[in-house]
Amino acid sequence: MTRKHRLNAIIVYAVLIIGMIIFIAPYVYMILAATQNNEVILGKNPFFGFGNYFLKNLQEVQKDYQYTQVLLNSVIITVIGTTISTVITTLAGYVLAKYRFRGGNLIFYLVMIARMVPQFALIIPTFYILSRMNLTNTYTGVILPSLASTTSVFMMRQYAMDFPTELMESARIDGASEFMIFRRIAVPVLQPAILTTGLLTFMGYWNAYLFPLIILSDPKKFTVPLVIQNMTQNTYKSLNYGALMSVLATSVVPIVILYILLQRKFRSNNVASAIK
Amino acid sequence: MEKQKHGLSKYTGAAWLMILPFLLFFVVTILIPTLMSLYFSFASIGDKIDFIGLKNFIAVFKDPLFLQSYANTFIFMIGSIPITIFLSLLFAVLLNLPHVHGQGFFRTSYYLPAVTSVVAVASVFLTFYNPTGLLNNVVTHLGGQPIPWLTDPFWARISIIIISIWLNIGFYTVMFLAGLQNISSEIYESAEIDGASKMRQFFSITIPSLKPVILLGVILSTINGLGAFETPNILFKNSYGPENSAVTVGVNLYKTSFELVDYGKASAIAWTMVIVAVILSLIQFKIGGKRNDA
Repeated sequence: MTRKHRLNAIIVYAVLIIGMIIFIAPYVYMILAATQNNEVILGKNPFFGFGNYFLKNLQEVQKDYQYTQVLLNSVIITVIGTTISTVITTLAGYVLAKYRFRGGNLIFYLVMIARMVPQFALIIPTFYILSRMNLTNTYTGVILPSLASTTSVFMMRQYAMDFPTELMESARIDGASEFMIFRRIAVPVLQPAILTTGLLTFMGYWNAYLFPLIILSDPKKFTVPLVIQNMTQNTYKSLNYGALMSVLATSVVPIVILYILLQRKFRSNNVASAIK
Repeated sequence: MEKQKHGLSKYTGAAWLMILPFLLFFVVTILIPTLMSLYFSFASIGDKIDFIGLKNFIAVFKDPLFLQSYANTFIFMIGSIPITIFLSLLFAVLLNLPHVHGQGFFRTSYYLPAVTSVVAVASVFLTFYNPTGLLNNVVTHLGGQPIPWLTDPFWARISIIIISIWLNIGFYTVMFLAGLQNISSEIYESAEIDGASKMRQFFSITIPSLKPVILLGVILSTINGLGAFETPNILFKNSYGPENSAVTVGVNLYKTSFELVDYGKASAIAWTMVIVAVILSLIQFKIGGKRNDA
């Protein structure tokens, strides 16, 4: 009996570990290949260790794409976009959960309907509007279309529903203004939820491909995913896979670290059904 | 009641003030573009915008590439969803076993693809799929012929399906795990008392309880599948793939708008996507019920 149990346990862990290897291996490969050249990466005898080409690969990316500028562009767009979006969607979700007012339900229904409309339906009018306003090739043009995230509002509303109304009422008796209640009581209580939605928004901006692709054509304004696209689709220069891998690593590693750090505060079950 | 109503209306001003910034952006960047897009789908767009009725939709449905893009999406779903669901269910059930250690650790590693840029993932696989890349290296070492991953229509689709499965398993595992943890242990206990075997319990309790979650997963995958763009765009370098095998509705829409610059037709394609997405979401609401929204 115990033998059978032990065998079962071994099988269970074996399956789980094989799964883990399948999911982690591409990341490890990405980092190793960033230090190698095409001869090794595409050669007959692949080598799974560190090579000597990391600096050379980085220099090439820097020379071809002014990569430090690209990273800066991505950071600026992501930080500003995430900050504004998180503030306005937290406020909106909180209000929709905690205040009954004329028009409140209408706003909520509109948000729910908008959630069903795929992003693709918006790219043409968005591009049309932005080019008329001369906002193509600007940070604003990339940040603006994703600020009013209906997913974030929906998630914040769900979380804020659990926020005790009694807390608001006793604060009112003490003479606190509505905004003060939000700032001083609701925000600290809802902090894990705000971090979760904030991380999703951060990921959205950092990984964004479609909107930057149509809005940015000036290489000086490129974000990280656009450099990846350019490298893989460049018809003038054969692809240096090692250099590509070093760019992929800069795209992936920050998010992975952030995710692991925030993981404990992450309410994964809610996140799972909210990403859409 | 009366008093409460009066009391709450005092705060209406503050409520409006706090929701106003979001509302402003929502109207300008989502609501108005949605309505514009709807109008564009019935219009011809050049220097000026002319209403042309259903002409765009008629042109779209006569276009073989449009039909191919829906067929491809369907093929990708058939190829990826069953395997994804089977493997995620397996991982979720194993992780949910009472004496498995390191649940959080495994879950985090499985979930990594869900937080990673799809463009980056597709590029790593692009490297794997290279004619002399890692995968063919393994295949030839095992004595097989190199596989034409990206140049043969059949393998081109397999390449996309593999990426889709790899990307989605973690997300589904976490979703199923949450679903499993919602099933009350009392049900299992009383089944145990009635003498139901573990196998029987799995098929009579676990699977039926997870049905709404599975449905949600299938519908989300379908909606995402219609808009799939990053993977085919990176793997096939902004082409339709060998013999149009990798054209999705999203790829077709992108190329119609930004290469053929036919905004009217592209908007019509977009609205076929909206209609399918809305129908699927409504089905999900109806069958899945509200419990899954949380």
